[in-house]
Parts: sequence; C-alpha cells; structure tokens
Amino acid sequence: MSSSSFPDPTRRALLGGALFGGAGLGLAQIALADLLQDGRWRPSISPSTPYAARLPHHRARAKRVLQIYCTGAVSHVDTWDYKPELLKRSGEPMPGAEGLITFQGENGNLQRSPWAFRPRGECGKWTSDLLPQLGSLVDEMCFVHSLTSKTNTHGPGENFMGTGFVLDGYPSAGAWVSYALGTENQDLPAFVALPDPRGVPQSSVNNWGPGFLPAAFQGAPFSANRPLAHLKGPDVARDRDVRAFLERANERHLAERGADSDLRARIASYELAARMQLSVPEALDLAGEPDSIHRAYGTDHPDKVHAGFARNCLLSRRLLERGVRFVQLFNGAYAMGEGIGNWDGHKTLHEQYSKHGPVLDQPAAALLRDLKTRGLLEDTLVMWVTEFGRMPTFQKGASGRDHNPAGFTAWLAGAGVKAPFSYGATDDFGHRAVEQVTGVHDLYATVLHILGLDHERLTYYHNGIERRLTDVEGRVLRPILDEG
Amino acid sequence: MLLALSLSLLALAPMPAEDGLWSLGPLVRPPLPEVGSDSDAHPIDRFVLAELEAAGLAPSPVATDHELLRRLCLVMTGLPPDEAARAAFDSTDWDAWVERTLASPHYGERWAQHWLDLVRFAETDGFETNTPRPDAWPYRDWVIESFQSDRPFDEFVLAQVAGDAIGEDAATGFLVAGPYDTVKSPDVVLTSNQRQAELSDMVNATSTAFLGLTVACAQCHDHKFDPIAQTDFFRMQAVFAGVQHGSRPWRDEVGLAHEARRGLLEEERARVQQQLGDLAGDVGPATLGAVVIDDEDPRMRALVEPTGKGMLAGGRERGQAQDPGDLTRLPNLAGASYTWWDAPARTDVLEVAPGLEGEYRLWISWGAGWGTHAPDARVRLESGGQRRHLATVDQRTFAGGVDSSAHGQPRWSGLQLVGRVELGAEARLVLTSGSGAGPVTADVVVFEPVGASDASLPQLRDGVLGTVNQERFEPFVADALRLRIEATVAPGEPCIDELEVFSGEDNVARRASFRTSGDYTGDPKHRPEHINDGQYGNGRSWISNTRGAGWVELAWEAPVTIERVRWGRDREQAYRDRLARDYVIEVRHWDGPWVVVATGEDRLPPFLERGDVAAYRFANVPDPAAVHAQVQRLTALEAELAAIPGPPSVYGGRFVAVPATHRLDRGDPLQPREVVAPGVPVALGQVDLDPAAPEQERRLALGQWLATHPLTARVIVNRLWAQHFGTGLVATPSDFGHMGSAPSHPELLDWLAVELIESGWSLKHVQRLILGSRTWRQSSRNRTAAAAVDADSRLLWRFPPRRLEAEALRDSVLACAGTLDRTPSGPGWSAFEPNTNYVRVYVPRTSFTGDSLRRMVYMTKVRMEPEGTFGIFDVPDGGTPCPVRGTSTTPLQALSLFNSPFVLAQSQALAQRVIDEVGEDPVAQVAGTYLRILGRSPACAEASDARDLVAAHGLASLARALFNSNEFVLFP
Repeated sequence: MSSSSFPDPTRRALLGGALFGGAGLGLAQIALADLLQDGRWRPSISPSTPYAARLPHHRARAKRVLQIYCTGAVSHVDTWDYKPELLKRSGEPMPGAEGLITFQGENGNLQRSPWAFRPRGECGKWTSDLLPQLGSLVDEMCFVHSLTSKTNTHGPGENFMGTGFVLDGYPSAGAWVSYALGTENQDLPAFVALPDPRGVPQSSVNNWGPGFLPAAFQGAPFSANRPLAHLKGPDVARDRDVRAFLERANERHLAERGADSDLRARIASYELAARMQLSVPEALDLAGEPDSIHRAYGTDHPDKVHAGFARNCLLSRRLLERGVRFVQLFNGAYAMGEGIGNWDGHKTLHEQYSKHGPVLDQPAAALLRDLKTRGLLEDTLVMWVTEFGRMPTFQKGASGRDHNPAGFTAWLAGAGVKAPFSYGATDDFGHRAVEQVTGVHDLYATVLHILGLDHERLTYYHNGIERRLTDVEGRVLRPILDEG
Repeated sequence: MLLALSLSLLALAPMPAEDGLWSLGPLVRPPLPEVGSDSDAHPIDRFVLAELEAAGLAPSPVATDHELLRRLCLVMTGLPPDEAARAAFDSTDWDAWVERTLASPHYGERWAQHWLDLVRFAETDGFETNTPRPDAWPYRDWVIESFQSDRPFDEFVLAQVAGDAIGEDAATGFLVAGPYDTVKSPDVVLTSNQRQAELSDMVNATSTAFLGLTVACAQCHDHKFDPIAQTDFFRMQAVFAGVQHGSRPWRDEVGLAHEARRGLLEEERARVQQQLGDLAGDVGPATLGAVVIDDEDPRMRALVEPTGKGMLAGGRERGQAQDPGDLTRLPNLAGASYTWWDAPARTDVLEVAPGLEGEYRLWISWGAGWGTHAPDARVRLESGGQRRHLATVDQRTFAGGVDSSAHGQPRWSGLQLVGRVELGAEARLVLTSGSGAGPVTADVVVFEPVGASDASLPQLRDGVLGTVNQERFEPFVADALRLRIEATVAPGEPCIDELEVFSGEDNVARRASFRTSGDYTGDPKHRPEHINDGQYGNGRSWISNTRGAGWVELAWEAPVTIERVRWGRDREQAYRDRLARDYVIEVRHWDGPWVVVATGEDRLPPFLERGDVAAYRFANVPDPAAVHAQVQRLTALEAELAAIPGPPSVYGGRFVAVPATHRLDRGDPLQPREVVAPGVPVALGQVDLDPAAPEQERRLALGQWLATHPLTARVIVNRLWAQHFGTGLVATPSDFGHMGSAPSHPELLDWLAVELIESGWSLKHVQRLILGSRTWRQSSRNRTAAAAVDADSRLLWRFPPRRLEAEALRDSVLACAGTLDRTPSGPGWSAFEPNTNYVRVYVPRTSFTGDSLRRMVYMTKVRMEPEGTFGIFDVPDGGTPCPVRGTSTTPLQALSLFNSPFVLAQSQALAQRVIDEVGEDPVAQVAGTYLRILGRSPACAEASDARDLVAAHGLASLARALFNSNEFVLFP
C-alpha cells in the first residue's frame, strides 16, 4: 500500500469515497483496510476474492442469515400478537382514536381477528389459526412484539425494513452483511434474494441492491422459479473453449503489462463465474430431494403459488447448507395489485388472508423444521419480517385493516436468540407498541451483533457521511440474546 | 446572460479559511513549481513532477500511439477509434487530435453521463410505483448540448437552479431529477415527511454537485465536521421551498414562437367573440333541455323483431361514423349503427315513448345510403287518443331529401325537422314501413322544448368531457342539490373528481355537507370527501360503489341561490373512463320536490364538441351578413389555433407560492421552530433575501451566487480531473469538507480553477490543458518499484488503468460490431419489456434491435431497476447523487458479458461483418476481428491460438472472447 507517501493526512481520507470507487483499482486498496484510526472498521477485501470469508468484530453466534420477508404488511393482530381485549371489545370504537386518520383515511371500529387464537407449543404461546404449522413451532421463536416503522407506505416501508432508510438508494441488509463477512462458499453468490413466484416486492431491487456499496455485494436475484440471469451459455463445450482462449489472452496481456491486481481480479472473476455455472444449477436441482421432503414442504401442492413458494423454501435450505451468507426469501409480490399477491389486506381481510396464510404456513414451517433437524439452526439466524403491521380496527366501510407502523411483530429463530421468548408489547388492542418499544435499527443492530458485527463500526463512506445499516440509531436488544 | 457576473478574479472575495477548511481558502493562481528534471514542462506536469520528485518517483514514458489514440477516444467520447482514425492518427499532431475529439458529437454524450450520475438523474419516480416520467429526457439532452457546445460553466450552474428565469426550461430538470414518492395519503405525518425528504434531496443535490459540500448532513443538527449550521441547511431549503416535483411547459425556441402566435390569435378571437356578442345579442349556451333518444334507448321499442343493425361506414363524410358535422348539420348522433327491418308493406315496426309533456320541436332520423330503403316510410304521433300523421320520409336519402344518389354504404341520415308536437305523458311516436315490402330503418329522434331555440337544428350541448362539464340554469334558491348518475361512457363505477356549485363566482359546494349512494373504498385517492374539497384530478376524486350508477347530494344549512354547476371526472386529463354519460341534476328547497335543472340528454355523444361557433344562436339578428362574416373569421381562428401544437412539457419542476420555512428541531417536520430566510451557509458567503422573497428570486439569487463562488470552480475542475484519470485530485469529488479527502496536489487544483475562471468558465479549456500534459499521455503499464511506493498511482507515476463504465462498454461493443445507432437526442429507448401488469413492473428485455442500439445515455433511465446486461457494472441506481462510480469486479459481471444474449448477438453481428469484408480466409478473419475489437493486428501466437478457436467454434466465438478480454474492457 502506498499511503506513506501521500499528502493526505489521514487514512480515513484515503480510504474514503475512493475505496471501491473511482480510484481505478478500487478493490486493491482495500486489501489492508481494517481498523481505522477512529475506531471504525472496514473489511479487508482482496480484489481477486471479494467474497472470501472475513473475520467479524467479535465472536459470531450465527454464520448466516435466512430472512423470511412477507411483503404487503402482515397483520400482527391476526397472526402473532394475541389481544384478548380486542376480542372482547370488537365492534366498539377504539378508545382515543376518534378522528384517527391512517394511510387510507378513516377507521371504523375495533375488529377481532376472523381466526381463533389458541395456546401452542410447550410454552403455550397464543397464536392464531391462520398459521397453525408455523404456530406449532413457537418454542423455536423469539418474538419482538413492539416493532415500529418510520413510515406507513409500502415502498418506503420496505426500503426501511430492507435497508434501514425509508428513501431509495441505500444498501440492503444482505449487501452490508456480505460486504462485512464475505461468504463461505466461493462457488455460490454470497447473498441470494428469492423473489416470490408471483413477482417482485414493492421496493423490488432496493431490498437486495448494493446502494452505494460496491456492486459485488448485491444480492443475486434468482429462485426455484426464476433463473439467475446469464448463468447458462449457449453450448458447454464451446463455452469452455472460449473461456480457455480468453484466459490465455488475458494472461498474455497481463504478462506484457506487469503484475496488476485489477487485471488478476477480472481473470479470477471468470474462474468464479465458471464455478458458479456448475454450483448454482446443482443447488437449484431439487429432484434429488426425497419425496418425504417434497411432501413436507408442499412442492407438489396443486396451487401453483403454494408449490412455487415451497420450492423456494426448499432451495433456501439448500443454499444455506451450502454456505450462502444471506438468503432473503420473499413471500408476497406487488405486480398483481393491492392484497391480491401480498399481505396488503385493506378490503376483505378474511378472503385475502385465507389465500395467503396456507401459502406461507406449510412451506415456511417445513423449512424451519428442516433447518432444525439438520442442525443448521445452530449457526443460522432466521428472521421473519414484514414492513409494518395493520390496524386493530377495520377501515371505515371495508372489511380489512389499514397500515399500522406504530406497532407490529417480527420473530427471530435459531442461532444467538432466546427461544421460546417474547419481547416487547403493544397496547391492549395491538395498535401501538408500548413496552420495550423497538425500531428496525434495533432489530438490525441485534442481527449484526449475532453475526459478530458491531453495527456502529460497520461503516462505508458516502457523500460526506460514514453510512451504517442502522443510520444514527440502533441498540442491541440484549434481553433477547442467548448469551450461552 | 450572467449580467451581474464579473469574471475577474477580483470579484472573488478572498474566502476565510473558516475552521481551517482548506477548500474555503482564497483562490489565487499559484506559482509553477521549479522542477529539476524538466523546466520547460507543461504546467500540469510541473505540479505533478514536483510531487513525484518529492516521493522519489519518476513519471512513465509516453504511451504508444495505439494506446494513446484508444485512450483519447474512449475517455473523451466513450467509443473506440474507428478505422479511419486509426489510419490517420499521428501523435506528433496531438493538439489537432485533441481538438478533433472535443468537437466529436459523441463528446457531449460521454461527458453528460458523468453529470447525470452526479445529479441522481432518472426518468422514473422511484419508490413503490416507480412510474415513468416521459418528459424528463429534455434535461438529459440539455446537459449533452451544454457539454457539446462548451456552455460556460457559470451559466450551466445558474440555468440548472433558475433556468426558468433565463429561458432555459429544460435545465431545471436538475432540481427534480431525484426520486419522488407519489403514494400520498391523508395522513399528515406521512405527507410532511415526504415533502421534507423532497426538499432535503434538492439541498443535497445542489450543495454536493456545485459546492462539494454535504450541507444536507446538517438537516438534524449542526454539521459534525464542517462549518455548516443547522440553520444554514434550512436557509438553503427555503430557496427551494416553492419547488414541486412535476412537469411544466417546455418553451424551447419553436415552443416560444408557437406561444407568441397563440397569444395573438387568442386576442383576436376574444375581439371577434366580443363583436359577435354585440351583433347576436342572445349569446352563450344555456342548458336547453332537449331530449335525444337513440335506437339503443329503452324508450324506443321495436314492435316487430328487427332484421338487424346497419353499421355506419367509417369516415368523416356526411353520415359516416366519425362525421364531425359543420355549421349546417350536427355531428353523427347515431352512434355506430341504425336498426332495420325487412318488413311487409305498411307495418308498424317501432314505437317511441318519450315520457315528456308539453310542446316540443321534433326531429327524426334513419339509416340512409341504400337505394332499397323505403321511399315513403311514415311517422305518426299517438297522444291523448288522437292519431296524427307527422311525416312521410324517403329513407334512401339524407335528411331533407338531399343527395338521393345511393352511396352504396350505410350512413346516418342526419336530423329532419318534423315540426311541433304537443305531447301528453302517454304520447308515442310510431314508425310504419313503406308502401312496398322491403327495408325500413330507424335511428335517433330529438325533442326540443319549444321556445328554447328556433334554429334549424336542435341546440345540443357539447358531449360530456372527462375534464369538466358545465350546466347553466335559471337561478334557484336551494338547500340541497343532487347529481344522479344513471350510466357511464364505459362500464365501471362512476367517478367525479369535483362537483362545484356556483352562486355567481362563489363555489358554494365548498360549504356544503355531502352524502353519497356508496363509496368505492380501499384507495386513498378516491374518497367521498374529495367531492367538494376544491382539489381536482383523479388523485382527489370520489368513486361510487355501484357499476354505472351512483349519486351525490350536497346540502346547505342556509339556502343558496345557485345557477351553475361544474363537474368533471379528471381535470388533470389523465382519465376519462368512469365518466357519467346519463345523469340528472336536481335541486330542492326545504322539503319541496326535487326539480330537474340539467340532464345529459341535450348533449352530443360523449367527447364530441361543437366548439365556440355552435354556441352562438342567431335569433332575431339584425345584420345576418356581418354575423356570417364574423363566424367565418372565428371558424378560421379556431382552426388555426387548433393546428398550433400544444407546448411540450418537461419534468423540470413546478414553481408555486412559497410557504414559510421553519428550522425543524432534529429535522422533524412535526417540530417547526423559528422562521428561516432563504440564503446560503454563512461560512461560505452571503446572499441577502427577504423571508418573503418571491419564489424565482430565491433560486436566481442562489444560482448567481453559486455560479461565481470559487469553490464551484475548484469542485468542477476536480470532477473533470477525476473523469480523466479515474480519481480526482480530491478523491471525494462531492465532499470538500473535513470528512472528504484532502487534495493530493492542492496547488494544481487551484491553478486549474483559476484557469477555468480566466477562460470564461470553459470546461473544454481545462480539458485541453489536461489532455496536453505528458502526465495524461504517459503509459499505464505497471512498474513494480513505483507501485511499492504508490500502488494506486495517486501521484500519477503512471496513467491509472481502470475498467470502462457500463455505457462505454456497451457502446463500444455496438460500435465494434458496426451496429451502433448514432441517432442523438429525443425520447429514450427502453431497456425493459412493455408492461402488461397492474403496476409498472420492469422485466429486462433480452433482444435488442432498432432504437435500443442507440447509445446508452439515450436509454430511458429507470430508477433502481438496473439494465439487464450492463447495469451490474456499477451503474448508479439514481436513488442518491453518485459522484464516483464503483469499479467492482464480480462473477455476475463475467456471466453477463460472457453469456448475455446481447453480447452473443453482437459477436455474431461482428463476425458476419468481418466475413462480408474479408471473405472465407481464416487468417484474414482473425486479423479483421482483432482490428475491429482491439484496434490492432494479432501477434503471431495470438493469431494461431485464435485460428484454432475459430476453426472449432466459428468467428463469433473469437469476437465473444475478445469482448470479454481485459484489453477491451480496460482503458489502455
């Protein structure tokens, strides 16, 4: 490295925007970047092996993350957040909510869930009949019932849950994690986003985009129903010979020009791509899975969406066991409109959720069980999230619920978290978080902590600020950590 | 243009080096350093050599001619040199080649892209809907043209902030180039946060692009590192407080000429209308109460099963389906068809029961055009037990018996006046076939109350329009009014964006309470309270919950005198579905009966307008000849006005009256504090504006201040440097603050800034200086010893190699393959498949022909969604300003460039072209492919290796390999 000769007084300045950026051989500069003078930390990344596994800040409890991302805003009061008072006072006006205007306008009276709640698991946690199979796994789950969002619109809400910012243009959580930690299997992408069989979510690419991080760390969007773009060449034998010729051409060029790490990095990227061409189809090949597994996930379900999501669940497990660092599994898509392809139940909640519930329930429960059976939960953190919750009232003149960012539920499972456990609470009706109020940044501070990362030290310089996944907020939710 | 600006350095008051921030120090021309090795060197080389010598390094030798030409073309135009340039190039004539490159039409396209990155330009809204902005491209063209013509940079700056003040409408696309959340809600917290985000984006884009200062970091608190107070942020925000996202008319030169002409014509029209008013006396449309009954109407009933429908011939001639009518006849009222019977002689085939009472003038019509139609069909009236023969009509001809020649195609007869009829409630009209057996036909009939008009045609009002419809009636004292909708123009629940009720010019609907028949729910755009909220457009409208029907009732606490109603479906003109066609407006007083004051029955078919001319009724006119002349003039004026194209629009923002700007505690719009006057950060200078300064004045003042600030000069010369060398002298080109990088060559930066100002802010002047330096022309080859001291060549001991950007890569592939479409300017091409979804979904296209072979700067830039093949090469997503692109190397890029249909197709195209040129000789084919892609002949070893590949897999495989090679993908 060359910093000694620089007129630049600080290493920070050197390692600033130019890191990956315009500084030509960007990646090369990072090779030595680690602990900066001011205590910030940057991963040490070699341009030839940008995905090499990197050490975290402290001992990691989880090596990888599965994010089950239900888009359209799942109603917490119809799933995980049991509110006896809401049952009791259904049909009455919500106290203190006179004239309350939410996203779509006025609200009607309190409305109990169309689904009964009952105690489940050994812990006896009450959850609803909408998701009975996931409900049967409550002993594995660590609920956060007091989440809040900063917006009540889906696009910004997904941005917030996906990137820590309501605005467009910020790196996704998976990009931050693969930037920090690289990955364990060099033959697969570090970060895979599996869109729902029905299409992409509201904020689409933002959820897995690199924002201003190097493009290397963006999620590769593919699923059991959608191929990875440009993975296959026209002809295996021809591709091999062309690639071999290309490598010889690049080696001749390199020899002529003297060792240059950026040239080497491009050569290496073709080797990596070639390995990916073999290993991605291998991971995608579900045919070798036993029938019992297919049945358990529901890949044979007559409903195409159900079967498609089940295949994505099964693929998620295969990616995780092959060492992919961050798997983002979507349930719900935007393209078909409000509430039809996602959890946005404004008008006819019962009808809409009666379709969506089973699609999520069996496959996701099978995935969780499968991860547990195979021991993957020991070092995999599962996070089930949605962009915000829904109102305990029905909308005026409708049989569905409006958006509610003031209180909603997410759950974690697997490595590093206490289970069964419930943290935080909403008020008697499920309207507002009132106990241990938690933000999305707190959730991510905790997730990063479990991955061995200090959310305040994992930064990237952009337009004048050392940016973080957690913006200027976030605290680790110590009570939910399994410190063992 | 910048009248107030002096280009003299004296005008640049020395800036205090506030807080020790180097970038705010005074800008003076630094002396050239003395360097031992070459005292005659180019000034730039002397600055660079001084630092190199200090570090014990030497520069590299000048690159080869091959490398130089390729570098010059790629860096300056984003395209490789063509064959002619390669043949003619002579590095001893370097300055001429520099000039030639700067004059290339591709220069502006290349350098505009860098600027577009910086200002987060994209042609969609971003966020959830990511809706296209089809009129955002003029800004892109304006930036290209500005670079191409070397528009002085101070003017370039001013125009982007206040172009509307200096006749540069497209330039303000800069202000609103960023994302815009169009999902609005009645929730005030959401709405105010959205607005604050828009304003913050404008402050951020402006301060980083021009000043290289991150003023937006001071939104919530004083800047943590730089001398920018929180108040400074809001001072700048106040400048933009009246800027809204959206489009406005684009007055380019042609548009301005049109506008002037339109103004003259409109003036004359007003004069003629005034004169006509004086001449004609009884002017202006009133709601007339005519009733139009078509053969599709239930009031018209067949007595004998019809044989069929005669479909009117298409066309605009008399009686054809699109007949627009003229002063002597109405447009086609008959819809698409008439009804016909193959009937025995003298048979009653049809009855019409209008359900009207009173004295009416009656017009009838039929299907004409065939010689076979009954020459003597009869119409009679049965009313109050009386039968009265009204007319015998020749159905072979048009109304009035004219033009009896058979056209041999089905047409509408037009209206024939039958006369006055006295109707009782039970009255019916009966149509009888002719005296011989054969076809008899029926179509629309019209009843007009006697006294409404005595014109030869019924006075029908314009058809309902999607935008706005007006009903006038005798003043009525009412405490309630209702609008009942009975049918819409297309199936669907009816929609009303606003119902206005006038007492004089006072819209009393705003003070009324409302009830509706039932509301479409679930979409905040459509709410019952939007009916009378004073806001127009689909986004603030009411929709009924019943298909084809619905009502709205307004009620007043105290009675109001009303005489006019205006209603529309979408006054913003985006929608005209859900439009009421059949409707009744009724009023009442206390508990009296509902009184009908207007209906849709006296209207022409939906969307048909007769225009102003038809509005004049000429009863009792004293001087018909004068009126006729004026009407002819008016008709001519209308025609000319209609022929002037409407002003094109540009997504350049809308400027509205400015609300007060408050400092927001913690940047939270719900916590406003003291009012802040528009201005600039105190540490940088002073712009005195009144807190109540008009909107445009604010931006003009800021723009003029920015355009003359020494920091502006330092920042732009650094950006130029960065795009020439890959890294700026300041490595953080949008951050000249403490968090940014200090300059590697501070004196060189100032020297370039002074050169810029003294040249009249000519960017090309600075680029000439850079390109003329030996530093820029040196080899990019690695030297291990030098790399050990300065791996990144920040001291410029070699030309730092780097990868081509996505645009240069794609454009170069097309140029080599000979498929590049060099068409400049205009609307962009789409990288995505046409949308078929409920919402805009972006599916990358995989096949590229036609305009998608244009340069990538002309691709419609979709926010967030990357182009399918090259987006992955670090193309910024348009979410935030991108001052420096990443240069990642990833396996997904390798897959894209190696396997994408685009690269495979272009490899094939290139191979075919080479084969067409050189024939079947494999040696010549290989040589031709190397020349086209790498601009050189292959060495021996390469040639034999390549021939083997071609023999096994064809020439396209060689092209594919070379497009992927480091030599092609990196700047030499």
